[in-house]
Amino acid sequence: MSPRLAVTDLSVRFATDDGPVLAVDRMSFSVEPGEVLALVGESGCGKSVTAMSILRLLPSIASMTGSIALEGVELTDLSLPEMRKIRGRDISMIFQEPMTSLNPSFTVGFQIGEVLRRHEGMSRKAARARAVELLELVRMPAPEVRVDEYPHQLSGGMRQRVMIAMAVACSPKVLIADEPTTALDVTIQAQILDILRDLQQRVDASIVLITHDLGVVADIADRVEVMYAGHKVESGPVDALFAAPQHPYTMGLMGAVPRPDLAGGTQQRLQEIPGLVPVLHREPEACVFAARCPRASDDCLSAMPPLELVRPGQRAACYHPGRRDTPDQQGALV
Amino acid sequence: MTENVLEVRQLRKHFPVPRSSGGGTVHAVDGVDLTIGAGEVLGLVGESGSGKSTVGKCIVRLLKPTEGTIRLRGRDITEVSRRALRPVRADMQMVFQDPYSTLNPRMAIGDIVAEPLRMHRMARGQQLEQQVDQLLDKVGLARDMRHRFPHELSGGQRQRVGLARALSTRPSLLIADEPVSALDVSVQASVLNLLMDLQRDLGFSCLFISHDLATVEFVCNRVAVMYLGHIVEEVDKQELFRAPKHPYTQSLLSAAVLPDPQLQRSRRRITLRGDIPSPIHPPTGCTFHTRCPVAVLPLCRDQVPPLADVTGRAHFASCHLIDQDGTAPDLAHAAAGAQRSA
Repeated sequence: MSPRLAVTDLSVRFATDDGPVLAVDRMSFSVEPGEVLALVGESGCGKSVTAMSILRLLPSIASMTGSIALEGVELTDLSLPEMRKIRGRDISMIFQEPMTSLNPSFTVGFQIGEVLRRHEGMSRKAARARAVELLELVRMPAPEVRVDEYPHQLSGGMRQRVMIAMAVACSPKVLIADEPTTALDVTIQAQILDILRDLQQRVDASIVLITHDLGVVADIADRVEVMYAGHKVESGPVDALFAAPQHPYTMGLMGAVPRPDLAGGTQQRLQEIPGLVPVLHREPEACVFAARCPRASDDCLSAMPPLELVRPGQRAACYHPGRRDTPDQQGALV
Repeated sequence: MTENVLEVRQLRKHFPVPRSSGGGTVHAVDGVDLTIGAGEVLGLVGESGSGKSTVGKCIVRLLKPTEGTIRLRGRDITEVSRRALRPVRADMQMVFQDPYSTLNPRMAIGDIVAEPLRMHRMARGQQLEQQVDQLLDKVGLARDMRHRFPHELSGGQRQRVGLARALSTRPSLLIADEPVSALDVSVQASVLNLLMDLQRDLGFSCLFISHDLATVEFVCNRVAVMYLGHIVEEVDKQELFRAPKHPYTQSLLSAAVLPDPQLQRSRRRITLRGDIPSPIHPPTGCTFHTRCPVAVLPLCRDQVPPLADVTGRAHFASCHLIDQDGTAPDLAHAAAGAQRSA
């Protein structure tokens, strides 16, 4: 049986004034029903571009190759009208900035209802009634009142609830959440993560979660794909990947985050990753992380390492993966 | 006796709301006391709308406080005129959140770093050039960066320039308002490391304003937690993370996600209801009572709890439900009980 969503050899190029930019290079992953897959990386790693290509929402300067299949149906072959039927019904998306993704001149009830009127042919009245139910589902306080309000009348957390209500209105097969809690306070983030977990169980959606926050990943993801400079550099089940990261970049990311130490001891220093993310113009002839990697050797400069199985279920694109017992010259990696 | 670098007493900042937007008053800061000793790093934590940034801006007098006093190294600077404030500003500097909008795009990096020294007539000519070089060295930027312009720099590099500029006058107090929130995690790490190195080397006191508990734990000695214009808890960092007393602090700690799947998923979670209420009509009594899972009515609704030392070891918290012996309500326990009975 084909997976819920399968992305194979996805490459995205942008034609910019400074020449072509390779934003995503031969990226492959798949999501099963009811699974939460996290795409993790820092700005510029290509995680949002990957999401946008799934929905075919890339700007006109972008060109895309590769395959995107929803339950075996190839999406890249679909015409735009056909794709419009998929968006919001089979695959829907939650964006980071709920203020700019909602239309300020319509009530939230109208905007949630629009999805239902369009995809399910509901009447205005029925759509509004369903919108109230959906707002209840995302635990909006006083949904009968809020349904007739405009986005500016709502707080950031409430707007994100509206976005989620819109996204799950048609019980999508795949829900793409692009940094859904980044703009929110922690207590609101906790509420939103609870809602996502709950919905995912109810409607059996697959969630593709795009985030830079390892805490959010640890909280909700089943599997993780770590991206760097348009490449997948590591993937694996969440427990294994956090317990024993294999790629030096993943290790670096984990060492860079301060962890509240509940035992009371205090960290002395955070691990730094010196240098900057490179901008690729063509397929790399060396490991994309080599310039910043404390382990880089001659073979790292000769070719981009392929993604290989290093532990059960865990893959890394690295010639020197895994834990090191002796500290390197920077004294950083363990 | 060593004097405190900063003493803030009963600071209030109210903003009028224009009649066209409904009128009223925003109670952004409503009676805040803060003390920072020499070489101490105090974290000010809160969610958006808690008033933490307003406190910072009032201290450096980018905003004029409505009430209260601010003393910098013993001197009352609350009512000082703009002109008289100028020399004071050399002694307290600020680093802002957004490194993209806080550097003048038309000035070279060297001029940005040199500007405070010129303004305060602290150096000129050859000596000024030397000091700029030393400052760039200190924040880990190459000396030839001085001829570059802000747009040529990455976010992390710009934040380093902001630090060099702020520290150029050797202030005794640095106010850092979310200095790493706009940066990627790997860049955050290097800026936080740098800030801590500089603090250790130069010994300035620091008010570190942040929404991120993990960052505050890493950087600060002591932490004050703000909610809706009030400080609800203030204590040593270790104690705050080990034994938080105030229900809001407990829920804030519980809501912060830890980058460790097993630990994160096994924790008892306290999920607060609703949003932070409007500071135009803050709740009566304890401002947290509308969201507090253990609030006792009518007590919490009617009476304002004082910020008091609850353990006798400088652990300040403002909650009616903390006992005389310092026993605080356990929210994780209460939440689990509520789930069982539901």
